[in-house]
Amino acid sequence: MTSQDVDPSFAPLMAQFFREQSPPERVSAAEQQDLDESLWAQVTEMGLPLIGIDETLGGSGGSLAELLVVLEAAGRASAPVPLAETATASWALAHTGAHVSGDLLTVAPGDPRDTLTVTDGVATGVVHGVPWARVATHTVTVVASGQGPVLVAIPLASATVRAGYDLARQPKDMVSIDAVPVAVSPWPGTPNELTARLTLLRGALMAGALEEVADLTRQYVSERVQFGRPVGRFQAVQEHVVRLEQQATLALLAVNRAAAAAEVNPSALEVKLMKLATNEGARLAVRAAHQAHGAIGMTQEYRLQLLTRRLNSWLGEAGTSSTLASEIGAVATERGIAPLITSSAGTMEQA
Amino acid sequence: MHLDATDLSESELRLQQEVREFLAERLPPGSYDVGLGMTGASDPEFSRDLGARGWLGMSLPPEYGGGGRSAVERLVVVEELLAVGAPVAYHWIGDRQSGPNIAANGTEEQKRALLPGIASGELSFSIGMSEPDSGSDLASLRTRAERVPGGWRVNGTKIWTTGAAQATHILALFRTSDDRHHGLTQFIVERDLEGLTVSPIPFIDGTREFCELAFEDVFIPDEMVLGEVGAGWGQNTAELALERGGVDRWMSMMPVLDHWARGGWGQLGAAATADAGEIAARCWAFRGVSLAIARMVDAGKSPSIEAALAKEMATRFEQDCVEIVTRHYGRTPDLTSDDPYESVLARAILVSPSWSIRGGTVEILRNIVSKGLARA
Ligand SMILES: Cc1cc2nc3c(=O)[nH]c(=O)nc-3n(C[C@H](O)[C@H](O)[C@H](O)COP(=O)(O)OP(=O)(O)OC[C@H]3O[C@@H](n4cnc5c(N)ncnc54)[C@H](O)[C@@H]3O)c2cc1C
Repeated sequence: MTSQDVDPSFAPLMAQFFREQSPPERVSAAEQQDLDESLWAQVTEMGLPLIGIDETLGGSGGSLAELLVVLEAAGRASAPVPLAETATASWALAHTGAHVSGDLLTVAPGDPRDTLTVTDGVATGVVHGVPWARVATHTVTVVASGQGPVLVAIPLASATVRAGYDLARQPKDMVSIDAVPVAVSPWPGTPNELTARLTLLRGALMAGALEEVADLTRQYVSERVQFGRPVGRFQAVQEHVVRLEQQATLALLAVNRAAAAAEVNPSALEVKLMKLATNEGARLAVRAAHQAHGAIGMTQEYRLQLLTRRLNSWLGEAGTSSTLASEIGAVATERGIAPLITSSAGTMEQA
Repeated sequence: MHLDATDLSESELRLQQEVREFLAERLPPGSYDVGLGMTGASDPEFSRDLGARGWLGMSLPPEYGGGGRSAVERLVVVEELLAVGAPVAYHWIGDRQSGPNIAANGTEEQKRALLPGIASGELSFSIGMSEPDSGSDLASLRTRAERVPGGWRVNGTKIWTTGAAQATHILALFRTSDDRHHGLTQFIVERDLEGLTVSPIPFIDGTREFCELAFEDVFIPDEMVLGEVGAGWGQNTAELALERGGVDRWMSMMPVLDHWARGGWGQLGAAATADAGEIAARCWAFRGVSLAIARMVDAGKSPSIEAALAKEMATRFEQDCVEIVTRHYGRTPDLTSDDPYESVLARAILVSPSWSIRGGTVEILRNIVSKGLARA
């Protein structure tokens, strides 16, 4: 399924919902609290985190493509809610055949410092960089076991959660557990399918943020006058505007292609290719957008920073550039680059 | 454009050694907030300690409390401070540009009243140039100083005035007539004047150095005009040359770079080692440029095109450094981390876009350099 299969009225509807319900003032205010409960309530009442999960399992139905449309809209509005995390964790539970309830869930994205071990249904260790852990009921992760990979759901009420933050001041916590009984279920797939799903959703948020950064900047430079004309008339500024449009366009295209590949093969290499390309795009876009804005873009009062701080956070999680580059590089050096890019969607396994 | 290869003399190297020894004792690791170059922490006591050693206002004339030393000697001191991310914000602007400007253009009374305080670290200056509608196009500025008996009455708004909330003085550029360039005049503004309201504008990282200044019928006496009425544009341009060519334009990341390169976050792998080598080579190149420019200043030249050329590439390089280190760091750093280097890296990610905006955007610098080369 691709974005072409989504009802054309759905995207504008989602865009309007997030634009209205997640205005910049509300996003900024959310930085002073753990969670904007009422926004989250609205999002869950609409069943948004459970899109892409079968109704028979308690999901909202609908496709991955529809879920990505929701995330793109949320990314545009910098919606300060754990949508990608809850959607991924709920999907993972449903993937094991469990029913989903709409609880606020999160995912341990995997960090080299993690020490989690699970023996006979009892978990011990530390998991780093868990988004929204302090307000979630469970965090899920896939670990190896004697019987193959298993999905583990850690009850956060039994964990010690140490508060940390990403660059947008959204919760990103450290979770420590000591001999806690956890729900364990066989994971029907490769272990990296869980992170792949999170990466895909993160990519959609980034694509939305990139589109918004591009639009905001184009608008600003058409209004900001220096030397008697809008600064957007200077070729040097046009370079920034064009770069932003390029990166926003590439990102959304990459997300949709990666989603199509993931429908064929949930651990398709395309997901990693998408994230690495989008990380690079975000890096270029943050620079270009701030440069085109001048000093005003550096202030908290102006909206650009809500977007660029998120982009800067997201490019360092659920697939960081140095790791992705090495992994993709391993495939590229083995198979060659031309065969890699010309193979049909979903046929290239992750390294 | 040609820059002369130059190195430090015996006595300059001795000074470097002295500064290193002082800093090792005065700022042991963990005793201060590691800063990002000129936006390091503001610590008036540290500034006074530097002043007491003769390391502020180094190039100011000795009869006004200055050191009577060279621009190169100042560079030697400053690069040691920036290498450790010292808390330099309180004295930075006064030492770098307001002091030299007052020494060059001030009246005898102004020099006697202000230069000793700049050299001792007592006074803190801010730059009041930009306005809401005048950023890159500075000459379009509209804050007006009108003649009144005994002085001037000022009305208007300045913005992005870094450090104004803690400054004792603001060196401001006001419009004194309608002539675009010749209608501009510099004034020394005391920060606590009646009618002047200073409001912080929260910055992207939550700090409050950025300020907006509202002037409402502020009276400024004649004695506070700096230089000639109508000569502000030229004086301001000379000041910008001092502002642009220094090591502060490429050393913001130095404490973080050092920490990373020396394995403070773990030993570097092959790719990171190669990147560290690349960064070191580029730093070495920029250091040569800053040193050559300082020698030109000491030889009585005004290397403003050279300074603009240097700043345009140096600030972009600084931003590259942030990206490279962040990539090798391997995850999004946390601004609230207990590890001071992690939190300063997080801050660098947030604030680094401003490095190629402040002091003239890269786009404007390219215009300046191209025009300057065409004239040469
Ligand atoms: C961290 C920081 C500290 C600062 N501190 C001070 C301070 O202490 N005192 C002070 O007075 N000011 C200060 N400034 C303001 C600074 O001088 C201005 O931000 C700068 O001159 C650019 O102006 P602007 O922000 O209004 O951007 P604009 O001039 O609006 O520029 C917007 C974009 O248009 C581009 N542009 C404009 N004109 C042209 C052109 N002719 N050709 C090509 N491109 C063009 C710019 O390069 C930029 O990309 C500070 C700024 C920052 C970010």
